[in-house]
Amino acid sequence: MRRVLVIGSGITGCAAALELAHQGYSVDVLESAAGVGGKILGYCCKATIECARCGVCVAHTRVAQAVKHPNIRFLAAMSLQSVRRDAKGFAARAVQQHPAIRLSACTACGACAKACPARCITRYNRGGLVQYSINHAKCLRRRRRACAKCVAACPAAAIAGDGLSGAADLSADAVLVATGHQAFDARGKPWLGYSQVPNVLNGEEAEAILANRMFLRGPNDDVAFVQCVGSRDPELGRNYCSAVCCAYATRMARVIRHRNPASNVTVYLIDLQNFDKTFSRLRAQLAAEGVRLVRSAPSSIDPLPGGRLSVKREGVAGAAAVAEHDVVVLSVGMGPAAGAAELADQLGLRRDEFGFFEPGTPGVFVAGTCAEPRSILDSIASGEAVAAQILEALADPGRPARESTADNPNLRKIKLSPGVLVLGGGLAGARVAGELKALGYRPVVLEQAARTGGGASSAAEFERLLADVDVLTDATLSRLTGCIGSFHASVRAGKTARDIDCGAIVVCTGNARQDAGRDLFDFDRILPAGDLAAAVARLPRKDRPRAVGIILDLKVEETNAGTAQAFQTALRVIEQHHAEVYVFLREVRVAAKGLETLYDDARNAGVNVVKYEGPLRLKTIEDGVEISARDALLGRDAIILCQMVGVSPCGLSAAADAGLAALLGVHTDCLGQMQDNNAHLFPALSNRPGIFLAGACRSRYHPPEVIADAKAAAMRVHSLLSRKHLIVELSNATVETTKCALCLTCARTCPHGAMTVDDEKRKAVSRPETCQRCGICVGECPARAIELPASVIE
Amino acid sequence: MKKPGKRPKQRLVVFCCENSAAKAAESAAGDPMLKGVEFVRVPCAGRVEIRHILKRIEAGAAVLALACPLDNCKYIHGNRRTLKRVDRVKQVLKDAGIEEGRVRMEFLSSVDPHKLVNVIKEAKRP
Repeated sequence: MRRVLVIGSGITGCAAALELAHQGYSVDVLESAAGVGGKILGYCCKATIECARCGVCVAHTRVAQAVKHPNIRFLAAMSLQSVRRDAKGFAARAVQQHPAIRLSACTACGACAKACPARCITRYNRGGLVQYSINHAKCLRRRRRACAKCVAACPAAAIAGDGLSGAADLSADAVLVATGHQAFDARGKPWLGYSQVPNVLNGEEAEAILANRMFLRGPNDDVAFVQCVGSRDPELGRNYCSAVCCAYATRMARVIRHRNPASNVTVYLIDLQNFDKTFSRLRAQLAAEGVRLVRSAPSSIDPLPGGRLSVKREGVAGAAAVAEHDVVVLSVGMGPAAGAAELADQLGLRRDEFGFFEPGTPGVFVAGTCAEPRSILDSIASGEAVAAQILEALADPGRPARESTADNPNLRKIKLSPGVLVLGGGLAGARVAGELKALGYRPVVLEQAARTGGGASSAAEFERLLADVDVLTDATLSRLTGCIGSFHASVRAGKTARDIDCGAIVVCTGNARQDAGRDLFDFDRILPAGDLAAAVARLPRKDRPRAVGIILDLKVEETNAGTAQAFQTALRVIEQHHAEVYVFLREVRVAAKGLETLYDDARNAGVNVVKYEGPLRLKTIEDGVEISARDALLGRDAIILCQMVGVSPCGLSAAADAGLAALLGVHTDCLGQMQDNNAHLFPALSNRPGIFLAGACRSRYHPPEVIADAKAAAMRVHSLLSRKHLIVELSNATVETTKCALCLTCARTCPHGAMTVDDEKRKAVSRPETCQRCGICVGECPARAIELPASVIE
Repeated sequence: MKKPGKRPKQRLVVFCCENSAAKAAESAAGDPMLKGVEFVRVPCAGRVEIRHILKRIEAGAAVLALACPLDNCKYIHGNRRTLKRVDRVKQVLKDAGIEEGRVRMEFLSSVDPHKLVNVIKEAKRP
């Protein structure tokens, strides 16, 4: 049995451990704190009546699942003392720092907490995660007093000792580093008053308060959030965007406003990052709900007599302004965790200029926020992706535990077809196919164009990924029947028709951008931003443009991908053709590794960045294209004449192919992108079991994000199909023949596509393998013909 | 102001989605506010039928349906279906001349036990 050592029991470590354990790997999770779960334990739910997709509830569910998994062993309060490579992989020694409760043995009976004379044992019970942990700061043994009351009281012998008595020698085939991050210490910016001025909190403290209470302080407080504290700040040596602060601050701001609509909430920010799948809608909601966004960085926060706070800021064009608030939350950014340097030395890991781990050391993998700032949901995706990477690197796709149906007549064994159909041969599709190939599958790739490659370029990479993969070009899906484990797809490839049986489908069709902007592009002067550099290079030298414009955020809020493409293009145009370049954008979206430095490089190279607000107009005139917009920073209208203009296609249309979505039965969100905007599904799941999604069709455009998405999707496919058989309990919804009027309300309301029609019996039936036992159909059926044996309510 | 003895104490039945409110209720177990409240566990708020609510109202109880926040339903839109059903029940109650406040719906996640206590507190207030 393969063994993996995971360092860090946060959400990334747990997500990866779960995937590996599910493949029959034995996983040791090392945690230096007394309890497992990491940072999420202190985070709050940020839902109003609508989910904000912060992922805290999903993360709790994952950690709770990991705790219960028999193949995962948690080693709490243990630190890595040494690690060396040997013939088999790694030999590590971990030392127990202080007495701790072994989760695998703990039955959560609470006897230890009752027995402890110092009350140092606390119970954590939230979101389905129950654990006891010893607060070592209070423990009598820390003061060298003899006390073993908890050890004696524990009926399950779950409490381990400390020091050498609790040392563990661990062997592993691979090591996963998921040590997480540390929030910026806001005392590093003394003018913001943190730890000096009362009611100035940092983001983590605000999270912890809202995790237990309805308000930060009082219901009527005027609350301000200050963004980019310890992020995007070259003076502090932290010249990167922390990617999560805009999300948590605006989400908390909405919660506070929702709980008391009379309270004032202000967010001081530089740029609002695009952190949500339907961000365009979110921004409208922020405005409608009265969350005030102020574009400025406060220069000082001082206490006023009476307990209020005065927040000074530099305003637009040098105008200073002062505002009063009751509570100020400093949105502190992410930095490398304490001890990262030491761990890097032990494992031979490289670190980037800011101290985050870089991948590349054989046998050692990195994921989550120790590699770059990431949200909870992105950390889960990175955990799933790294699990696929580990399976591939060890050349062992694993063997999931086989379940037996022999002694239970209620179980049915359904054979899973090993085939996988990948829709789309772009960056995501090729990646998914490449990953699946490495895991031992033989995927079929459908590409509707004449060649694979999609919007991405690197031909060599594509050849490598798609070598030995069955690729059908000029191909479209014309019909899909069946369900998870046994789909039947009718495919038209060129002039031939073909039927494909597959157990799973991965949709990587990108967005429908071929139609976007037809009204806008004249392909002479105005063209997609990605084609701009090449188009300039094609022109004879004398006709080359003096000024080039690149426009972002034109119709849809841009993502990291748009910024990356715009600034890379701008740099190329400046370096190769020495033209003036103007980049028009509403916000600088730099929430991914390397983008802030790319932005700085572009500005240093002379790229003019115009932040505009309101509508942007393009007018083709004789000499070029006139771009007019209102400059948000100067508060003035700007008209700039450019000879060539590139428009970011990502900012035009985010919608996926609606016809394909309907054919697949996959839901789209309010912007027409595939996949519901539902945190339970992220990253790769769709509403239909067995159909997975990756890349631009679900609004992931930035290449590193697309790659992580593709790996996570491949992992999910593997996790499903490696079981060979699906064991389903026959507790799915049942339909009474005499009552069913075949009105198909159930088929319309079943979110999973589980209801079909039995033509012989003339009634609706649910497929046991697809039915998720939610009971929605039972409540909807007007004839009350449906029952759910799994849940009978009187 | 609440006048003591004016109104008999109403029983409160809470339908709890297994994925959110039921977990929150487990975390909040032992809170005095939860005393005397009848919890009905359902696999999804979408499982709660109109008749389940009406039956309990007929028996004299007040009903609180607790679902996951919108767009956070494990089964995609179970909570939205229930929201429609609760609105329907309210209409039925109104038509029958019964106080429509007897049925309420709230949205909370599994990691919000304090919010659960809060909504139950509000639902208990006559």
